[in-house]
Amino acid sequence: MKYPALTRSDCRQLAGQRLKGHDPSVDSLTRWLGAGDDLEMADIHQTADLFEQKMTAHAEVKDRDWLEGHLAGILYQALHPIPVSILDDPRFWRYLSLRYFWNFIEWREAGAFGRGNHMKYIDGENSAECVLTRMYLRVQALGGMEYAHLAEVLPKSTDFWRSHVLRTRTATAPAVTRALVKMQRDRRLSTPDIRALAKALNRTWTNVVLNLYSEEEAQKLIEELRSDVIETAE
Amino acid sequence: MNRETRLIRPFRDIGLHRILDHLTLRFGSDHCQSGKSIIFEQENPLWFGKQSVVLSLATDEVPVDDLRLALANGISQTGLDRSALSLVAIAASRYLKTSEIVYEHTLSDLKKLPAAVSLHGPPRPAPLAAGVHGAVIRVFLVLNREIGIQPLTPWRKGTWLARATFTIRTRQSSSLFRLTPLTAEIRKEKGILRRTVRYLWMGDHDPLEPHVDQDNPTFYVDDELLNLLDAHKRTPTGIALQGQLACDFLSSIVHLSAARADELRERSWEDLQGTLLGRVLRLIVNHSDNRIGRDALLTAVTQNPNKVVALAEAAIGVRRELLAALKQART
Repeated sequence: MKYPALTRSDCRQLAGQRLKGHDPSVDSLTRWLGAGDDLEMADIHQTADLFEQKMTAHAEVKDRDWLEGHLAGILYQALHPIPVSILDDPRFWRYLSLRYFWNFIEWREAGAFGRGNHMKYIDGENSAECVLTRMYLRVQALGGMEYAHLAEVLPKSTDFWRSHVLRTRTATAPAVTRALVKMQRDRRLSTPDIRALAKALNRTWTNVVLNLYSEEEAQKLIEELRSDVIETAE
Repeated sequence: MNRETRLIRPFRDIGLHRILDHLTLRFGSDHCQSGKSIIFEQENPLWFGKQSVVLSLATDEVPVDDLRLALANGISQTGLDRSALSLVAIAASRYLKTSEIVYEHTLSDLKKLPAAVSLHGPPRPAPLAAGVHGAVIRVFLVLNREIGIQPLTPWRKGTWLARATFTIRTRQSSSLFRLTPLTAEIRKEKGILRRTVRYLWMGDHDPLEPHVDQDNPTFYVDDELLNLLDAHKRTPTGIALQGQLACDFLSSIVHLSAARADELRERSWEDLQGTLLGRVLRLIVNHSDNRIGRDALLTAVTQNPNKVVALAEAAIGVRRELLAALKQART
């Protein structure tokens, strides 16, 4: 299958023009990689339209992370059928960012874009930072569409997802991710306490293969770590 | 009162600790031993997902009957029930954070433990199709259920008693770090002054934890300098500068690790396999001029990190490149 891709330097060039208010042609710099039929982009196009509508409807929302979580499931649904070999390529995510989702990403990271610090949110290199990859991974870390509703249940949770899930091995164990999210949704720990719990969880990974845990076992572990954190804090 | 819970790992007194060391993995036409890597050289990442992946539990040196016997004896010595232990293989890929259990065998059924097992499906496990960033396959001898809590004895479900790790690297994933332009915007974001030439940003990367699970550190180099370096990378000066930058990187990793002496003392050479520090130390040991032993080298990281840096510099061979650059400048 052939898929669209952008090099990092072309991505930088296009982004620079966009930031200056121009509307450069992304397609003119796009390379199609692979062989066979072209990747069907209709679902992605529709998803991008939906993003625009939702962004307009919620333009004044204070918690922009909430909308990121809300839309994460829609993005996941559109991209999940695409072969892993394509999703594993940062050049594909650059194309998506520049061709379809620029307005949303610019709105979502308006602060960083205003400071000229935009590349990490669009270049696909760091999957926990790039807006589209991190949205996709948020739902994947939860276990897919069945649990996508959990992607938006924690208010102002940018740091939670980035530091405690996506940058850690916990992202590879959906039952543990769900248990962590549900615990934080139902009985939110303070920032220092959730950091302490996440640290304890990361240490547990050193000894224990948490990918094997069921829903109940993951919940029990998170409860145990929570109790330890609270007890230590007292 | 300040209190901290510390995990003691792994349970090395248990005789099973090294029982998976002989395992090998075949990926397409390549194969590797536990703790080693296969480099997938194909330009087209789509070919990655078409390779066969076979885990060999038995080898010429360790036939499957010997492995079964060793497992039976080892488990018997632990006092654990065989049915509480499983052999599990998990494939994972860093960029897409995918992880799949690709093989599982409960050891109550030891007689049916095969000599080799195919891991590639169908369906193809997602991590084994990640052709840009590669994959890691870990095989664990693991507790498959919780047993009664006893101090210094494995009891928690998922606790591993032995493991083997195989890394399938691609061209992109095989580098330890990537030189990245230190631009005005990055300087502003990181609070780096204009005259700064290099800055190693570790992010959340822990040099004592497996490299393949984490994003690479970013090694920023002044953007103008990096452009010039790119244009002159094959000249003596360019080669010398690249060597010097590699030295700077290795030095930072050694000193960052040395600052965590307490944690490092709890780790063995095997524990550090696949970590950034482990790769630096292996580079030193593999250099034929260094006759320092593994344990002595590990101890030196905490007691004399500058010496470890000096050994790493020798392993890279930067002296010859520096001399060549200066001799050329003289002419």
